[in-house]
Amino acid sequence: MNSQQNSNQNNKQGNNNPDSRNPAATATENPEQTREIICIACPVGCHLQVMFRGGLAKDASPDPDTIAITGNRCPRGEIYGREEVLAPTRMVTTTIPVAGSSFARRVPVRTTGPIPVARIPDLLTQLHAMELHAPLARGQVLLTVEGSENSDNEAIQVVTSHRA
Amino acid sequence: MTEYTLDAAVIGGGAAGMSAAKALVDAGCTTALVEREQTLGGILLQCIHNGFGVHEFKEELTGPEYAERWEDMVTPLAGPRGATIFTDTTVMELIPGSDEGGFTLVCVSPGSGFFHIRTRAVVLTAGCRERNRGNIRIPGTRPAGVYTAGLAQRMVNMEGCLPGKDAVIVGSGDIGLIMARRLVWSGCRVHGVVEIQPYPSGLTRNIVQCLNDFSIPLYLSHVVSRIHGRTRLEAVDITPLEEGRPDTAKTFTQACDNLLLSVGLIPSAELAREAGAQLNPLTGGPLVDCRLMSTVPGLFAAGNGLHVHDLVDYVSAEARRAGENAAAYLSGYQPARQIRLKPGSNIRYLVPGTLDPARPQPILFRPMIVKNGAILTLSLDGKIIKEQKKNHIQPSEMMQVDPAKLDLGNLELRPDSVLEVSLS
Ligand SMILES: Cc1cc2nc3c(=O)[nH]c(=O)nc-3n(C[C@H](O)[C@H](O)[C@H](O)COP(=O)(O)OP(=O)(O)OC[C@H]3O[C@@H](n4cnc5c(N)ncnc54)[C@H](O)[C@@H]3O)c2cc1C
Ligand code: SF4
Repeated sequence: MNSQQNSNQNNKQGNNNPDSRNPAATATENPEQTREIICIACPVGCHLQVMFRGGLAKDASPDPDTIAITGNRCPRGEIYGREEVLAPTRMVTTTIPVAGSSFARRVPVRTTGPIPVARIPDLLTQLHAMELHAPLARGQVLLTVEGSENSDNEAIQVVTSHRA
Repeated sequence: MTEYTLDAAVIGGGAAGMSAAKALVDAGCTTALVEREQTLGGILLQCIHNGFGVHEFKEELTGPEYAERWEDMVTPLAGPRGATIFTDTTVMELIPGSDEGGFTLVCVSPGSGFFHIRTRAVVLTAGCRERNRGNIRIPGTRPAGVYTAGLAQRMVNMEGCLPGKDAVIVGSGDIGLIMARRLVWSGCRVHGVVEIQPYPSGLTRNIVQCLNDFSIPLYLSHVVSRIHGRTRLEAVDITPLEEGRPDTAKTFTQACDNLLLSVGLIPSAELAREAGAQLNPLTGGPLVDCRLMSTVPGLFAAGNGLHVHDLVDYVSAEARRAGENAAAYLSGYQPARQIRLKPGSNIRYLVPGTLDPARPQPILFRPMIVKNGAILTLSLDGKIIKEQKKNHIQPSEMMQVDPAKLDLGNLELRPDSVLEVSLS
């Protein structure tokens, strides 16, 4: 049996670029010079090279003025790439147990907008400790995610995404 | 035995069924909507992530939200002149009538036992099922811990139980990718996604947000070559392919206690087949004409029960057409002629199989290639009538072309004309 390294050098896709969100994957002590990310603003999926002029120290937040992006086929790629390295956000969805519903054991919930990636683990812990009681309507507000706003400066909330 | 007589019946109350039923009722037909589960919505109810409804509702909804919005539109249609909604009811058999056409649906529900629904038209929207281990033939033992990804999705999202702590996923389709993130967010470890093809079969967005975000390796051109474990799954062997052949010297073993199979979906076409409908070997669903009507007159199909879709918006739209066409059939409409539609180069299949020049409806198809800047060509009897540039195509994304924009009225059509769709 061979080592994993060997067999997937050519074929393992995607995560060969250590990412600051994944300390385990950031083995190198040298400042990061470039990072490759895939633009998902449209289905073309351009591979973007994000360059950090002067290098990016481990765990440091990048300075917007030192970032240069190449590989994008259109301007949206630049916007996506900058956002993705400066302040990555994601939608969060999960389900929470519900008591007293005639048809559901769990109710699906969602954030009302993308939240900072760094806040996801805590939010999930908080949500997975909850227990709800029927009846619940779709869109019922369960909590407000601290320190996260949408572009209109409204706080992001967690709401139910189906009745129960 | 109780018997209901209505104009039409819709079998399956998922996205497709709700849309077909609404179209039928809107066209003035009394319609039975029959759903096996307690609530309408189908597979959408377990797809708790967002990304549904961009076309239908112009916003990004979760699966359950999309389902409930449709439920909110369909429930008020209930009434003696509109829809009769049977939930918790399974259609066991679909029997085409011998004499003047029509169908009998043999139904069963815990509350009412067996009963019959008699109709003159049926829209089959029974969704699809997952291919399983038998379909892909992985050698090894038969331990517990091997699940299809959709079943695992249902367990985690709706029942609240995890398939295990350490997962390996076979197949890079969207369900598998979405389950990878779901498992990590539920506290499990996902050790890799193994894909036999040299390219991922899911959407790029899901590769990025469900794998790369968590540094989950994607082993392209690899297969799971053996399953280990006596009673419980213990590990799998993963082997790379070199020019299509397993390079066994490079096999490695990955410990895991659950293996999720995301290796494709097949339309649930049993009821149609048993009713005598011919199936399309390329889609697994019934063969349909320009009206989405099968080879059994009056039996229509739409959604994943016709061919497997990746966008629910296309499902709703297709089923709306099936419902409208079924209503037109009930009022006596017959297409004067039909042009045959032919899949050309790089097209796996097209649905439907023919086109009614008087009522042209969208043609859905799946590309066989991954390409940026592809050209979509439509040719009538060998003559190019339309060319369109496509930014990006890939097999996991279904495509659609609307022949209503082709100005068919001005073209010379013969009874045996063929319209070919191809990609280059
Ligand atoms: C895991 C997953 C993720 C997806 N993600 C996305 C996404 O992000 N965005 C997007 O747009 N689309 C997505 N899709 C695709 C889309 O959601 C589906 O294609 C669509 O919902 C299918 O609808 P349907 O009505 O054809 O089938 P289903 O929803 O499967 O409905 C079929 C219904 O028929 C019922 N039924 C079957 N047989 C019988 C019978 N004999 N009697 C009575 N009832 C019966 C079943 O109970 C079921 O409710 C996803 C699909 C899956 C599986
Ligand atoms: S850079 Fe532009 S073309 Fe490329 S994936 Fe992003 S949005 Fe699409």
